[in-house]
Amino acid sequence: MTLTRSLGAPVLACAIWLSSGCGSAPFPVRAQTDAVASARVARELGAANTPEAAYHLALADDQLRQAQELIREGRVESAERVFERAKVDADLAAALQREAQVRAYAASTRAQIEEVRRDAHEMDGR
Amino acid sequence: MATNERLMGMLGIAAALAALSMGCGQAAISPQLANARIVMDEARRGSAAQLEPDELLVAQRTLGIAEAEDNGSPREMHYAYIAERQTRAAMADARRREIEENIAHDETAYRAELERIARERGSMVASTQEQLAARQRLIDQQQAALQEHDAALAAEQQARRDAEANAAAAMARVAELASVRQQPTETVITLSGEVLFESGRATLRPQARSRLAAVAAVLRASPDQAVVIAGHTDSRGSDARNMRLSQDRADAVRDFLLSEGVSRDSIRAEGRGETQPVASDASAEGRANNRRVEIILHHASTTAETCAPVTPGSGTPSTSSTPSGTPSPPSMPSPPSMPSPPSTPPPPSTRTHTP
Repeated sequence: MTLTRSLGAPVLACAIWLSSGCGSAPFPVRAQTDAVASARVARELGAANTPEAAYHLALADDQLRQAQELIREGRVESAERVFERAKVDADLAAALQREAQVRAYAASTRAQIEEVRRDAHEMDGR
Repeated sequence: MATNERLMGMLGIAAALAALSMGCGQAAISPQLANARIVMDEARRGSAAQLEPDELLVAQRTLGIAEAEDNGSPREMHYAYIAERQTRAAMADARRREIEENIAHDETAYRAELERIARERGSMVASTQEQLAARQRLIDQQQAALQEHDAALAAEQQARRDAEANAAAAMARVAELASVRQQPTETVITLSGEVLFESGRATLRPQARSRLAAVAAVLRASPDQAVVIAGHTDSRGSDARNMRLSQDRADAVRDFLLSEGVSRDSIRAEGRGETQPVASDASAEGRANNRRVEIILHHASTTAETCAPVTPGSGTPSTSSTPSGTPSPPSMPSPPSMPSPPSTPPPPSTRTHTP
Protein backbone atom coordinates (compact mmCIF):
# COMPACT_ATOMS: atom_id res chain seq x y z
CA MET A 1 0.00 0.00 0.00
CA THR A 2 2.73 2.37 1.03
CA LEU A 3 4.84 1.30 -1.93
CA THR A 4 1.96 1.82 -4.33
CA ARG A 5 1.20 5.27 -3.00
CA SER A 6 4.84 6.29 -3.14
CA LEU A 7 5.06 5.04 -6.69
CA GLY A 8 1.93 6.94 -7.54
CA ALA A 9 3.50 10.28 -6.92
CA PRO A 10 4.66 11.76 -10.24
CA VAL A 11 7.31 13.82 -8.53
CA LEU A 12 8.92 10.76 -7.07
CA ALA A 13 8.73 9.08 -10.45
CA CYS A 14 10.56 11.93 -12.07
CA ALA A 15 13.24 11.76 -9.41
CA ILE A 16 13.73 8.09 -10.08
CA TRP A 17 13.89 8.77 -13.78
CA LEU A 18 16.51 11.45 -13.29
CA SER A 19 18.56 9.19 -11.03
CA SER A 20 18.48 6.37 -13.53
CA GLY A 21 20.37 8.39 -16.11
CA CYS A 22 19.12 10.88 -18.67
CA GLY A 23 20.76 9.22 -21.60
CA SER A 24 18.70 5.98 -21.66
CA ALA A 25 15.03 5.36 -22.64
CA PRO A 26 12.51 7.74 -21.06
CA PHE A 27 11.01 6.79 -17.71
CA PRO A 28 7.54 5.20 -18.23
CA VAL A 29 5.65 7.78 -16.24
CA ARG A 30 2.35 7.18 -17.98
CA ALA A 31 2.52 3.40 -17.65
CA GLN A 32 3.47 3.58 -14.03
CA THR A 33 0.78 6.15 -13.19
CA ASP A 34 -1.90 4.16 -14.95
CA ALA A 35 -0.90 0.95 -13.23
CA VAL A 36 -0.77 2.49 -9.79
CA ALA A 37 -4.14 4.23 -10.30
CA SER A 38 -5.76 1.00 -11.48
CA ALA A 39 -4.39 -0.89 -8.49
CA ARG A 40 -5.70 1.79 -6.14
CA VAL A 41 -9.16 1.64 -7.69
CA ALA A 42 -9.27 -2.16 -7.42
CA ARG A 43 -8.20 -2.03 -3.80
CA GLU A 44 -10.75 0.65 -2.90
CA LEU A 45 -13.46 -1.46 -4.48
CA GLY A 46 -12.53 -4.22 -2.05
CA ALA A 47 -10.85 -6.55 -4.52
CA ALA A 48 -8.64 -7.88 -1.73
CA ASN A 49 -11.74 -9.45 -0.14
CA THR A 50 -12.88 -11.50 -3.14
CA PRO A 51 -10.68 -14.53 -3.99
CA GLU A 52 -10.45 -14.23 -7.77
CA ALA A 53 -10.13 -10.46 -7.72
CA ALA A 54 -7.62 -10.67 -4.89
CA TYR A 55 -5.48 -13.02 -6.99
CA HIS A 56 -5.20 -10.52 -9.84
CA LEU A 57 -4.67 -7.63 -7.44
CA ALA A 58 -1.80 -9.55 -5.90
CA LEU A 59 -0.37 -10.15 -9.37
CA ALA A 60 -0.59 -6.42 -10.08
CA ASP A 61 1.19 -5.58 -6.85
CA ASP A 62 3.93 -8.10 -7.59
CA GLN A 63 4.41 -6.65 -11.04
CA LEU A 64 4.55 -3.14 -9.69
CA ARG A 65 7.34 -4.21 -7.35
CA GLN A 66 9.03 -6.07 -10.18
CA ALA A 67 8.85 -2.99 -12.41
CA GLN A 68 10.34 -0.91 -9.66
CA GLU A 69 13.17 -3.34 -9.40
CA LEU A 70 13.75 -3.19 -13.17
CA ILE A 71 13.89 0.56 -13.01
CA ARG A 72 16.54 0.37 -10.35
CA GLU A 73 18.45 -1.94 -12.64
CA GLY A 74 18.09 0.58 -15.48
CA ARG A 75 15.87 -1.67 -17.59
CA VAL A 76 13.31 0.94 -18.29
CA GLU A 77 11.71 -0.65 -21.34
CA SER A 78 11.15 -3.91 -19.49
CA ALA A 79 9.77 -1.96 -16.57
CA GLU A 80 7.25 -0.20 -18.82
CA ARG A 81 5.93 -3.52 -20.12
CA VAL A 82 5.64 -4.87 -16.58
CA PHE A 83 3.75 -1.71 -15.58
CA GLU A 84 1.37 -2.33 -18.50
CA ARG A 85 0.78 -5.89 -17.39
CA ALA A 86 0.26 -4.72 -13.81
CA LYS A 87 -2.38 -2.29 -15.05
CA VAL A 88 -4.42 -4.90 -16.92
CA ASP A 89 -4.25 -7.25 -13.94
CA ALA A 90 -5.48 -4.43 -11.67
CA ASP A 91 -8.25 -3.58 -14.16
CA LEU A 92 -9.30 -7.21 -14.29
CA ALA A 93 -9.33 -7.34 -10.46
CA ALA A 94 -11.59 -4.29 -10.39
CA ALA A 95 -13.93 -5.76 -13.02
CA LEU A 96 -14.19 -9.04 -11.11
CA GLN A 97 -14.83 -7.18 -7.88
CA ARG A 98 -17.61 -5.10 -9.44
CA GLU A 99 -19.17 -8.26 -10.75
CA ALA A 100 -18.99 -9.87 -7.31
CA GLN A 101 -20.57 -6.83 -5.69
CA VAL A 102 -23.45 -6.75 -8.16
CA ARG A 103 -23.93 -10.48 -7.77
CA ALA A 104 -24.20 -10.11 -3.98
CA TYR A 105 -26.64 -7.24 -4.37
CA ALA A 106 -28.74 -9.33 -6.74
CA ALA A 107 -28.88 -12.18 -4.25
CA SER A 108 -29.93 -9.77 -1.49
CA THR A 109 -32.64 -8.22 -3.64
CA ARG A 110 -33.99 -11.60 -4.61
CA ALA A 111 -34.05 -12.70 -0.97
CA GLN A 112 -36.04 -9.59 -0.05
CA ILE A 113 -38.54 -10.26 -2.82
CA GLU A 114 -38.96 -13.83 -1.69
CA GLU A 115 -39.46 -12.70 1.89
CA VAL A 116 -42.14 -10.23 0.87
CA ARG A 117 -43.88 -12.85 -1.21
CA ARG A 118 -43.74 -15.33 1.64
CA ASP A 119 -45.17 -12.77 4.09
CA ALA A 120 -47.92 -11.86 1.65
CA HIS A 121 -48.76 -15.51 1.13
CA GLU A 122 -48.93 -16.09 4.88
CA MET A 123 -51.19 -13.07 5.36
CA ASP A 124 -53.44 -14.25 2.54
CA GLY A 125 -53.55 -17.64 4.23
CA ARG A 126 -54.82 -16.02 7.42
CA MET B 1 -9.97 -20.84 -7.84
CA ALA B 2 -11.98 -22.44 -10.61
CA THR B 3 -10.89 -19.66 -12.89
CA ASN B 4 -7.26 -20.32 -12.05
CA GLU B 5 -7.66 -23.99 -12.84
CA ARG B 6 -9.37 -23.10 -16.06
CA LEU B 7 -6.57 -20.68 -16.82
CA MET B 8 -3.98 -23.38 -16.19
CA GLY B 9 -5.89 -25.72 -18.46
CA MET B 10 -5.96 -23.14 -21.18
CA LEU B 11 -2.26 -22.52 -20.81
CA GLY B 12 -1.66 -26.27 -21.11
CA ILE B 13 -3.69 -26.42 -24.30
CA ALA B 14 -1.88 -23.38 -25.62
CA ALA B 15 1.50 -24.95 -24.84
CA ALA B 16 0.50 -28.12 -26.66
CA LEU B 17 -0.59 -26.11 -29.70
CA ALA B 18 2.69 -24.21 -29.63
CA ALA B 19 4.69 -27.47 -29.43
CA LEU B 20 2.81 -28.91 -32.40
CA SER B 21 3.48 -25.88 -34.55
CA MET B 22 7.17 -26.03 -33.60
CA GLY B 23 7.29 -29.63 -34.72
CA CYS B 24 6.15 -28.50 -38.17
CA GLY B 25 9.26 -26.39 -38.71
CA GLN B 26 7.79 -23.05 -37.73
CA ALA B 27 8.54 -21.12 -34.54
CA ALA B 28 5.78 -21.84 -32.06
CA ILE B 29 3.43 -19.13 -30.80
CA SER B 30 3.70 -18.40 -27.16
CA PRO B 31 1.32 -20.08 -24.69
CA GLN B 32 0.09 -16.61 -23.80
CA LEU B 33 -1.07 -16.00 -27.36
CA ALA B 34 -2.73 -19.37 -27.61
CA ASN B 35 -4.49 -18.72 -24.33
CA ALA B 36 -5.53 -15.23 -25.42
CA ARG B 37 -7.09 -16.66 -28.56
CA ILE B 38 -9.06 -19.24 -26.57
CA VAL B 39 -10.34 -16.62 -24.18
CA MET B 40 -11.23 -14.34 -27.07
CA ASP B 41 -13.22 -17.12 -28.74
CA GLU B 42 -15.08 -17.70 -25.51
CA ALA B 43 -15.83 -13.98 -25.20
CA ARG B 44 -17.18 -13.80 -28.74
CA ARG B 45 -19.54 -16.68 -28.04
CA GLY B 46 -20.73 -15.09 -24.80
CA SER B 47 -22.57 -11.92 -23.95
CA ALA B 48 -19.51 -9.67 -24.06
CA ALA B 49 -19.82 -9.15 -27.82
CA GLN B 50 -23.25 -7.62 -27.31
CA LEU B 51 -22.87 -5.95 -23.94
CA GLU B 52 -19.26 -4.74 -24.00
CA PRO B 53 -18.34 -4.45 -27.70
CA ASP B 54 -15.95 -1.51 -27.16
CA GLU B 55 -13.92 -3.26 -24.49
CA LEU B 56 -13.83 -6.39 -26.57
CA LEU B 57 -12.68 -4.39 -29.60
CA VAL B 58 -9.75 -2.99 -27.62
CA ALA B 59 -8.80 -6.51 -26.57
CA GLN B 60 -9.18 -7.66 -30.17
CA ARG B 61 -6.75 -4.99 -31.33
CA THR B 62 -4.27 -5.90 -28.65
CA LEU B 63 -4.54 -9.50 -29.71
CA GLY B 64 -3.90 -8.38 -33.26
CA ILE B 65 -0.71 -6.65 -32.18
CA ALA B 66 0.40 -9.81 -30.41
CA GLU B 67 -0.31 -11.89 -33.47
CA ALA B 68 1.72 -9.46 -35.58
CA GLU B 69 4.79 -10.02 -33.45
CA ASP B 70 7.23 -12.83 -34.04
CA ASN B 71 6.06 -16.17 -32.80
CA GLY B 72 7.26 -16.87 -29.30
CA SER B 73 8.87 -13.45 -28.94
CA PRO B 74 8.67 -11.57 -25.66
CA ARG B 75 6.57 -8.84 -27.31
CA GLU B 76 4.12 -11.44 -28.56
CA MET B 77 3.85 -12.87 -25.06
CA HIS B 78 3.51 -9.40 -23.58
CA TYR B 79 0.65 -8.26 -25.81
CA ALA B 80 -1.04 -11.65 -25.64
CA TYR B 81 -0.97 -11.39 -21.87
CA ILE B 82 -2.52 -7.95 -22.04
CA ALA B 83 -5.11 -9.05 -24.59
CA GLU B 84 -6.12 -12.02 -22.46
CA ARG B 85 -6.58 -9.81 -19.38
CA GLN B 86 -8.53 -7.21 -21.34
CA THR B 87 -10.76 -9.91 -22.77
CA ARG B 88 -11.47 -11.36 -19.37
CA ALA B 89 -12.21 -7.93 -17.95
CA ALA B 90 -14.67 -7.34 -20.81
CA MET B 91 -16.31 -10.66 -20.01
CA ALA B 92 -16.58 -9.75 -16.30
CA ASP B 93 -18.14 -6.39 -17.20
CA ALA B 94 -20.60 -8.14 -19.51
CA ARG B 95 -21.62 -10.54 -16.77
CA ARG B 96 -22.07 -7.62 -14.41
CA ARG B 97 -24.30 -5.90 -16.95
CA GLU B 98 -26.40 -9.03 -17.28
CA ILE B 99 -26.84 -9.23 -13.51
CA GLU B 100 -27.74 -5.56 -13.35
CA GLU B 101 -30.42 -6.09 -15.96
CA ASN B 102 -31.76 -9.01 -13.97
CA ILE B 103 -31.77 -6.87 -10.85
CA ALA B 104 -33.69 -4.17 -12.67
CA HIS B 105 -36.19 -6.80 -13.79
CA ASP B 106 -36.48 -8.22 -10.28
CA GLU B 107 -36.93 -4.77 -8.77
CA THR B 108 -39.67 -4.00 -11.25
CA ALA B 109 -41.41 -7.21 -10.31
CA TYR B 110 -40.80 -6.42 -6.65
CA ARG B 111 -42.43 -3.00 -6.95
CA ALA B 112 -45.36 -4.49 -8.83
CA GLU B 113 -45.74 -7.11 -6.13
CA LEU B 114 -45.67 -4.47 -3.41
CA GLU B 115 -48.25 -2.38 -5.26
CA ARG B 116 -50.49 -5.41 -5.68
CA ILE B 117 -50.20 -6.26 -1.99
CA ALA B 118 -50.86 -2.65 -1.02
CA ARG B 119 -53.95 -2.58 -3.24
CA GLU B 120 -55.30 -5.80 -1.78
CA ARG B 121 -54.58 -4.72 1.78
CA GLY B 122 -56.08 -1.31 1.13
CA SER B 123 -59.20 -2.89 -0.30
CA MET B 124 -59.42 -5.27 2.63
CA VAL B 125 -58.96 -2.45 5.14
CA ALA B 126 -61.59 -0.31 3.41
CA SER B 127 -64.05 -3.19 3.42
CA THR B 128 -63.42 -3.87 7.09
CA GLN B 129 -63.79 -0.21 7.96
CA GLU B 130 -67.07 -0.06 6.06
CA GLN B 131 -68.40 -3.09 7.95
CA LEU B 132 -67.32 -1.58 11.26
CA ALA B 133 -69.01 1.71 10.39
CA ALA B 134 -72.24 -0.12 9.50
CA ARG B 135 -72.14 -2.00 12.79
CA GLN B 136 -71.46 1.22 14.65
CA ARG B 137 -74.45 2.85 12.97
CA LEU B 138 -76.63 -0.07 14.00
CA ILE B 139 -75.35 0.12 17.56
CA ASP B 140 -76.02 3.87 17.63
CA GLN B 141 -79.57 3.33 16.38
CA GLN B 142 -80.19 0.62 18.96
CA GLN B 143 -78.77 2.77 21.72
CA ALA B 144 -80.91 5.70 20.66
CA ALA B 145 -84.00 3.49 20.58
CA LEU B 146 -83.07 2.09 23.98
CA GLN B 147 -82.64 5.56 25.43
CA GLU B 148 -85.95 6.61 23.94
CA HIS B 149 -87.61 3.55 25.40
CA ASP B 150 -86.01 4.16 28.80
CA ALA B 151 -87.14 7.77 28.73
CA ALA B 152 -90.69 6.74 27.83
CA LEU B 153 -90.66 4.11 30.55
CA ALA B 154 -89.37 6.61 33.10
CA ALA B 155 -92.01 9.11 32.06
CA GLU B 156 -94.69 6.47 32.31
CA GLN B 157 -93.46 5.38 35.72
CA GLN B 158 -93.33 8.97 36.87
CA ALA B 159 -96.83 9.59 35.54
CA ARG B 160 -98.04 6.49 37.36
CA ARG B 161 -96.37 7.62 40.56
CA ASP B 162 -97.91 11.06 40.15
CA ALA B 163 -101.33 9.55 39.52
CA GLU B 164 -101.00 7.28 42.53
CA ALA B 165 -99.88 10.20 44.65
CA ASN B 166 -102.79 12.30 43.41
CA ALA B 167 -105.20 9.46 44.06
CA ALA B 168 -103.80 8.92 47.54
CA ALA B 169 -103.97 12.62 48.32
CA ALA B 170 -107.53 12.84 47.02
CA MET B 171 -108.52 9.75 48.97
CA ALA B 172 -106.99 11.23 52.11
CA ARG B 173 -109.07 14.36 51.57
CA VAL B 174 -112.20 12.24 51.13
CA ALA B 175 -111.39 10.27 54.26
CA GLU B 176 -111.66 13.52 56.20
CA LEU B 177 -115.15 14.10 54.85
CA ALA B 178 -116.69 10.64 54.58
CA SER B 179 -116.45 7.06 55.71
CA VAL B 180 -114.00 5.08 53.60
CA ARG B 181 -113.70 1.28 53.65
CA GLN B 182 -110.80 -0.35 51.89
CA GLN B 183 -111.44 -3.90 50.79
CA PRO B 184 -109.37 -6.24 48.65
CA THR B 185 -111.56 -5.78 45.59
CA GLU B 186 -113.13 -2.43 46.14
CA THR B 187 -113.15 0.80 48.08
CA VAL B 188 -116.46 2.03 49.46
CA ILE B 189 -117.00 5.70 50.24
CA THR B 190 -120.13 6.23 52.32
CA LEU B 191 -121.75 9.64 52.47
CA SER B 192 -124.61 10.31 54.86
CA GLY B 193 -127.94 11.04 53.21
CA GLU B 194 -128.55 13.67 55.88
CA VAL B 195 -125.50 15.58 54.76
CA LEU B 196 -126.20 15.30 51.03
CA PHE B 197 -129.96 15.69 50.77
CA GLU B 198 -132.89 17.23 52.52
CA SER B 199 -135.34 14.75 53.95
CA GLY B 200 -137.45 13.03 51.30
CA ARG B 201 -135.87 14.91 48.41
CA ALA B 202 -133.12 14.24 45.82
CA THR B 203 -131.69 17.74 45.61
CA LEU B 204 -128.11 18.15 46.75
CA ARG B 205 -127.51 20.44 49.69
CA PRO B 206 -124.96 23.21 49.05
CA GLN B 207 -122.57 21.75 51.61
CA ALA B 208 -122.73 18.39 49.83
CA ARG B 209 -120.99 19.78 46.81
CA SER B 210 -117.60 20.27 48.50
CA ARG B 211 -117.64 16.66 49.72
CA LEU B 212 -118.66 15.31 46.33
CA ALA B 213 -116.00 17.49 44.68
CA ALA B 214 -113.41 15.67 46.80
CA VAL B 215 -114.88 12.35 45.69
CA ALA B 216 -114.74 13.52 42.07
CA ALA B 217 -111.03 14.22 42.52
CA VAL B 218 -110.53 10.62 43.62
CA LEU B 219 -112.42 9.30 40.64
CA ARG B 220 -110.54 11.53 38.21
CA ALA B 221 -107.23 10.26 39.62
CA SER B 222 -108.30 6.65 38.98
CA PRO B 223 -110.02 6.81 35.60
CA ASP B 224 -109.69 3.06 35.00
CA GLN B 225 -111.80 2.06 37.97
CA ALA B 226 -115.43 1.18 37.50
CA VAL B 227 -117.64 3.15 39.85
CA VAL B 228 -121.07 2.28 41.19
CA ILE B 229 -123.10 4.91 42.99
CA ALA B 230 -125.59 3.19 45.21
CA GLY B 231 -128.43 5.10 46.87
CA HIS B 232 -129.97 3.71 50.09
CA THR B 233 -132.98 4.72 52.25
CA ASP B 234 -134.38 3.67 55.57
CA SER B 235 -137.47 1.51 55.78
CA ARG B 236 -140.00 4.24 56.36
CA GLY B 237 -142.43 4.70 53.49
CA SER B 238 -143.30 2.34 50.70
CA ASP B 239 -140.70 0.20 49.00
CA ALA B 240 -141.47 1.72 45.64
CA ARG B 241 -141.08 5.24 46.89
CA ASN B 242 -137.85 4.35 48.67
CA MET B 243 -136.53 2.68 45.57
CA ARG B 244 -137.35 5.68 43.43
CA LEU B 245 -135.90 8.11 45.96
CA SER B 246 -132.68 6.14 46.25
CA GLN B 247 -132.36 6.02 42.47
CA ASP B 248 -132.99 9.75 42.16
CA ARG B 249 -130.39 10.47 44.79
CA ALA B 250 -127.86 8.19 43.11
CA ASP B 251 -128.58 9.93 39.82
CA ALA B 252 -128.11 13.33 41.42
CA VAL B 253 -124.73 12.30 42.80
CA ARG B 254 -123.73 10.79 39.46
CA ASP B 255 -124.75 13.93 37.58
CA PHE B 256 -122.73 16.08 39.91
CA LEU B 257 -119.68 13.87 39.52
CA LEU B 258 -120.05 13.98 35.76
CA SER B 259 -120.18 17.76 35.93
CA GLU B 260 -116.91 17.62 37.84
CA GLY B 261 -115.15 15.84 34.96
CA VAL B 262 -115.51 12.19 35.93
CA SER B 263 -115.66 9.88 32.90
CA ARG B 264 -119.23 8.78 32.19
CA ASP B 265 -118.08 5.50 30.72
CA SER B 266 -117.08 4.08 34.06
CA ILE B 267 -119.86 5.35 36.31
CA ARG B 268 -123.21 3.83 37.05
CA ALA B 269 -126.01 4.85 39.43
CA GLU B 270 -128.18 2.33 41.27
CA GLY B 271 -131.11 2.78 43.59
CA ARG B 272 -131.23 0.11 46.26
CA GLY B 273 -134.00 1.49 48.42
CA GLU B 274 -134.23 -0.03 51.86
CA THR B 275 -132.86 -3.44 50.85
CA GLN B 276 -129.37 -3.08 52.29
CA PRO B 277 -129.64 -1.55 55.76
CA VAL B 278 -126.52 -1.19 57.80
CA ALA B 279 -128.32 -0.47 61.06
CA SER B 280 -131.66 -1.04 62.71
CA ASP B 281 -134.46 1.22 61.60
CA ALA B 282 -135.91 1.05 65.09
CA SER B 283 -133.88 4.04 66.26
CA ALA B 284 -133.42 7.44 64.73
CA GLU B 285 -129.66 6.95 64.67
CA GLY B 286 -130.00 3.64 62.85
CA ARG B 287 -132.33 5.13 60.26
CA ALA B 288 -129.92 7.99 59.74
CA ASN B 289 -127.14 5.52 59.06
CA ASN B 290 -129.26 3.63 56.59
CA ARG B 291 -130.00 6.82 54.63
CA ARG B 292 -126.80 7.04 52.69
CA VAL B 293 -125.09 7.07 49.32
CA GLU B 294 -122.23 4.64 48.71
CA ILE B 295 -119.67 5.29 46.01
CA ILE B 296 -118.06 1.95 45.24
CA LEU B 297 -114.72 1.96 43.38
CA HIS B 298 -113.93 -1.43 41.92
CA HIS B 299 -110.18 -1.94 41.68
CA ALA B 300 -108.85 -2.26 38.19
CA SER B 301 -107.91 -5.95 38.37
CA THR B 302 -111.36 -6.86 39.51
CA THR B 303 -113.32 -4.43 37.42
CA ALA B 304 -114.53 -7.03 34.98
CA GLU B 305 -115.87 -9.19 37.74
CA THR B 306 -117.39 -6.45 39.81
CA CYS B 307 -119.07 -4.45 37.11
CA ALA B 308 -122.08 -6.62 37.66
CA PRO B 309 -124.74 -5.11 39.90
CA VAL B 310 -124.02 -5.47 43.57
CA THR B 311 -126.37 -7.79 45.32
CA PRO B 312 -127.92 -6.87 48.61
CA GLY B 313 -125.85 -7.71 51.60
CA SER B 314 -122.56 -7.82 49.78
CA GLY B 315 -119.47 -5.93 50.85
CA THR B 316 -118.45 -6.75 54.34
CA PRO B 317 -116.29 -3.88 55.59
CA SER B 318 -112.68 -4.72 56.29
CA THR B 319 -111.30 -1.34 57.24
CA SER B 320 -112.99 1.89 57.80
CA SER B 321 -112.35 5.42 58.75
CA THR B 322 -114.81 7.73 60.29
CA PRO B 323 -114.58 11.32 59.24
CA SER B 324 -115.64 14.02 61.55
CA GLY B 325 -119.18 15.12 60.98
CA THR B 326 -120.20 11.97 59.23
CA PRO B 327 -122.36 9.19 60.58
CA SER B 328 -120.58 6.58 62.62
CA PRO B 329 -120.20 3.16 61.11
CA PRO B 330 -122.90 0.82 62.16
CA SER B 331 -122.44 -0.52 65.64
CA MET B 332 -124.63 -3.48 65.05
CA PRO B 333 -123.33 -6.54 63.22
CA SER B 334 -123.75 -6.50 59.53
CA PRO B 335 -126.38 -8.74 58.14
CA PRO B 336 -125.22 -12.04 56.91
CA SER B 337 -123.90 -11.66 53.44
CA MET B 338 -123.57 -14.16 50.69
CA PRO B 339 -121.47 -12.70 47.86
CA SER B 340 -123.10 -13.42 44.56
CA PRO B 341 -121.12 -14.58 41.59
CA PRO B 342 -120.55 -11.89 38.97
CA SER B 343 -122.98 -13.46 36.60
CA THR B 344 -125.78 -13.41 39.13
CA PRO B 345 -128.55 -11.12 37.88
CA PRO B 346 -129.67 -8.31 40.13
CA PRO B 347 -132.53 -9.02 42.48
CA PRO B 348 -135.94 -7.82 41.41
CA SER B 349 -135.92 -5.10 44.02
CA THR B 350 -132.67 -3.57 42.74
CA ARG B 351 -133.13 -1.06 40.00
CA THR B 352 -130.18 -0.34 37.74
CA HIS B 353 -130.08 2.94 35.99
CA THR B 354 -127.46 3.92 33.55
CA PRO B 355 -127.30 7.51 32.40
